[in-house]
Amino acid sequence: MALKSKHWTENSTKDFIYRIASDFIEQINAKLDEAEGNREELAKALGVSKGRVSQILNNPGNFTLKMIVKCARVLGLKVSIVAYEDKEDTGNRLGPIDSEIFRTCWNRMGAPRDYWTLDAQPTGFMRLNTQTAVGFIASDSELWANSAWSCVYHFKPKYEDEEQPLEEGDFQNLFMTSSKKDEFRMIQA
Amino acid sequence: MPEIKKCTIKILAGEDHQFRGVGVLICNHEDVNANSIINGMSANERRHLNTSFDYWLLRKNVSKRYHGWNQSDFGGRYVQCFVFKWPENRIYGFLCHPNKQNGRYEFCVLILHDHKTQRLTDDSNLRRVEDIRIQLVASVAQLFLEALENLKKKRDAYGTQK
Repeated sequence: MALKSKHWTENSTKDFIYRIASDFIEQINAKLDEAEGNREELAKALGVSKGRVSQILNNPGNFTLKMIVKCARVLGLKVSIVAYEDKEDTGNRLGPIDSEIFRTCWNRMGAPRDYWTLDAQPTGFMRLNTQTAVGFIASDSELWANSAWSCVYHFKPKYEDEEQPLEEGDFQNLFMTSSKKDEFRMIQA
Repeated sequence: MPEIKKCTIKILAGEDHQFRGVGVLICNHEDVNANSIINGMSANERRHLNTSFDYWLLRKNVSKRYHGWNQSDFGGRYVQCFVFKWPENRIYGFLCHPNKQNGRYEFCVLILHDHKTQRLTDDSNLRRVEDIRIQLVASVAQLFLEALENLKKKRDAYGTQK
């Protein structure tokens, strides 16, 4: 029987570190590309010249946690270390999940910052017009157990076509309001 | 230009991937040097390249690491060509769909390494890669199949030793 190959990050801890540090550096590079001043700010924070910043970013294997936090904070970013169980790839045949995928998923979930908000993610929503949609929560959290709650989203009028399906990222703000059972309150934009 | 005679492909990444893979052409030809360059890379250079392969397999958009050429570049002559990059270095290759069981599977065959110091791409490198691509069009599916079989044999042998 053919054996499945292992991903190159499985060869050594150094390899694994190089790859996940590269993911982080790609996020930093994207931020640096947003504004020319960012590179200058980063150079200042690291106490090096602008040219040296590129050299540092070209060497992911040398990144320390301290540098990661320093680089992120000076560019207005935060950092989380995420350990996760990849149930479909426990042997690491496919390599680590790109950190940008975690960031994108977090944003798509409405960027929850605690477990209250995380539990309150809507399980469905109904579009009212180009400005407003109402979302429905199905949660077994204690907070939601005794009353019906609704999430009302105020979203960017991104699409002209009302038939076009909404995506989570379309929502600009999240408003939550309590209501009587079976009655959803709506906030008109 | 010299004719490509006996050659093989070694798979470098994505052999189990659903959509993409990367391999390198091995043959005795003056324009085919990617394999020897990759084999001689430092650990960190190889890690950089492996990371770029990963990103391409993921469909991550990082043109600083790799890109192709479209119809508006060089009169559309090199739309099948592709390059993986790292500071002052380039490895050129071409894209193809050699997997008969999965027509969507896109495979990048690396061919030619060159040092790059100027901003614009040297057309002559692309021309050399395109010439080789044309010579391999008819045989690339067979070469890919043989590469997969070689990989399978190696894994089986490794499994038996363990």
